[in-house]
Amino acid sequence: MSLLEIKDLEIIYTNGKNVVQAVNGINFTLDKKETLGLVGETGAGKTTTALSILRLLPERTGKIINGSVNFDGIPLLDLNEREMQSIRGARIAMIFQDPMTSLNPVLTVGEQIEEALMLHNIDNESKEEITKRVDEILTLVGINPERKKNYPHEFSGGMKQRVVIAMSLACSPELLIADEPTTALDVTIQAQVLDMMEELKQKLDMSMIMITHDLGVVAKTCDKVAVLYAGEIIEYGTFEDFFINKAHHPYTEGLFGSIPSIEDDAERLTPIEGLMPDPTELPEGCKFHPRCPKCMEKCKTEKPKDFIKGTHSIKCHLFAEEEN
Amino acid sequence: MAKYVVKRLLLIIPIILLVIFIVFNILNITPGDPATIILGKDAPQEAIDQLNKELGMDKPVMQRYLKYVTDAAKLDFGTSYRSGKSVSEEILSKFPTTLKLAILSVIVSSLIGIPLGIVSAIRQYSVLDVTLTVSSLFLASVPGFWLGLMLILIFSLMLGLLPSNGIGSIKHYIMPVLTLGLPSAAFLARMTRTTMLETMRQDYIRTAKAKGASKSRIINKHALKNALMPVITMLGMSFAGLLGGTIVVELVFGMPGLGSTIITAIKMKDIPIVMGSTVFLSILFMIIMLIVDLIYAFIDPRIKAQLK
Repeated sequence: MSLLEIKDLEIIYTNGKNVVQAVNGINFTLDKKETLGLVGETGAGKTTTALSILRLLPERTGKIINGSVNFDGIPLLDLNEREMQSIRGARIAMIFQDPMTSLNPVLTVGEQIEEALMLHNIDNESKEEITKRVDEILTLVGINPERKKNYPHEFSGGMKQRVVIAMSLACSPELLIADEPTTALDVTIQAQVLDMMEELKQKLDMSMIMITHDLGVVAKTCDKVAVLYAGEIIEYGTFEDFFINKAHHPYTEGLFGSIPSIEDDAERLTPIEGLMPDPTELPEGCKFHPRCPKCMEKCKTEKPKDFIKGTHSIKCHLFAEEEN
Repeated sequence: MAKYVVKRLLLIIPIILLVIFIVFNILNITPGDPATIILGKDAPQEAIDQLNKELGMDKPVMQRYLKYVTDAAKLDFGTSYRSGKSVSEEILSKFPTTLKLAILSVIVSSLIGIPLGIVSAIRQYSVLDVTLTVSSLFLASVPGFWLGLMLILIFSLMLGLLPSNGIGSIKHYIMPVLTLGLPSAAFLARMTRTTMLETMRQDYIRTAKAKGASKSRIINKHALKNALMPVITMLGMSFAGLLGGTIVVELVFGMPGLGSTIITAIKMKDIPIVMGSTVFLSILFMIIMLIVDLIYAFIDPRIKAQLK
């Protein structure tokens, strides 16, 4: 059985007047020790999907209107708040995008890591044992345990992200959701942090959802990839399907095409023309058709189905024609 | 930290010199001389000139300024033109009433305002929140004298529970303190609500939720300390403001405090009293602000780091 199974997930944001269709029927599964990459532009619904797993959507505005999230057989969307609290941080942990703002400025990093352990202290460990655990975890992420008495502002960006990672790993979760963990860091630190996460993932036997818009990060870390566009998974497959196979959704091709190459002598980057559609007024038919270089008449009216070939699934009419 | 405190205390000296200079000049350019006011308009000109000379008013303003500053350095602030008592004596006899009023008002307003603001933020848009918003808007907009008179009308005249006038017992302080404290509580509640809502939207609150912390833990351990910082500044400012600004309440409730003393002194051109209370209140204000900053440093490690 897979560790995480998301079915037909639909999420909207509403402020009473406007309805933003953030996630429109997402399906995916994640097995133990697997890493899934969620790729897409800003606003594609990556973070929304992740937050809904932990039920951390903004209370007043975010609503899950359909679908189910099963974690190790537990229907997360049906749990009450208290049951959910015992899962958050203990069995599913999350790392947020910006380490600069995701630590509480008035508590020491030691206190913040310790809190995670105290909240889920199932084995009734003593204060000393917990303090020892804090030291161990800090060492694990490459921070001198003596620095636990320091406050977040006394750390650099990369170090802060290590603290955030230490905090999320404190209770050895089975699933780690990393929401663009390296976006706010500079490139050399990015590589360090990614290597460290990969190493810890192996050591602790975790599954991971890696949210990113950086295909480089995906190539480095993921076993499976899901490309999100306007709240839908438009392409889903294994690492091989993406990086070895040549058949791709036109949007994925666009993503690959927009990566600058070291060998090419190109003067300009080749971006995907246009912008993401307004999520309050999504286009008819295929949501990508206004930007698609291979758009056909059919795409403007008819929603494409998922065309599945082995482990690889693509939501595009082009591949329907191939099948016929 | 100690070094910082000393530095801040020393900084009071130049600021006070400047304050004295400004007030001195303002008093100098306002019409009317003290002798005429003391002796009355009908007094003979010789007598007026004579008295002005005795008071040192015939000397140039800079010379008087220097004399005042050197005397003040020796803690001699002169004698009141009106009562003939020394200025220090006059201020220190009136100040306790005002100080009591200010302290009690700040306590009342924070005890009411801060908890209500927090509850209001946690239960945003609830009936309680809306009720609080409306009533605090009302309290913040009614003038102090009206509120004071209404309290007198209800509690003294209609119910006969509280004395309307004087400073004899603790009962005498209830209505003045409410008059000062309630509008201030209303402001505090609004402000606490805003900063609390702001804090609850921060990323580190989401991090705490993701760790599995309960709502009450998030509020108590993660949000409050961060949310209350601007509120503390506001409390410090309103306390300092109250020390010099309880005039309306002192007049409505017939309390002989510092505020009414200053007003009388300004009207009577009793320069030593005006100068003395200005210096006194300015120093007090700066010390309170210093204390507020130190409390800040105590709460926020980032500020503590800057003070080193």
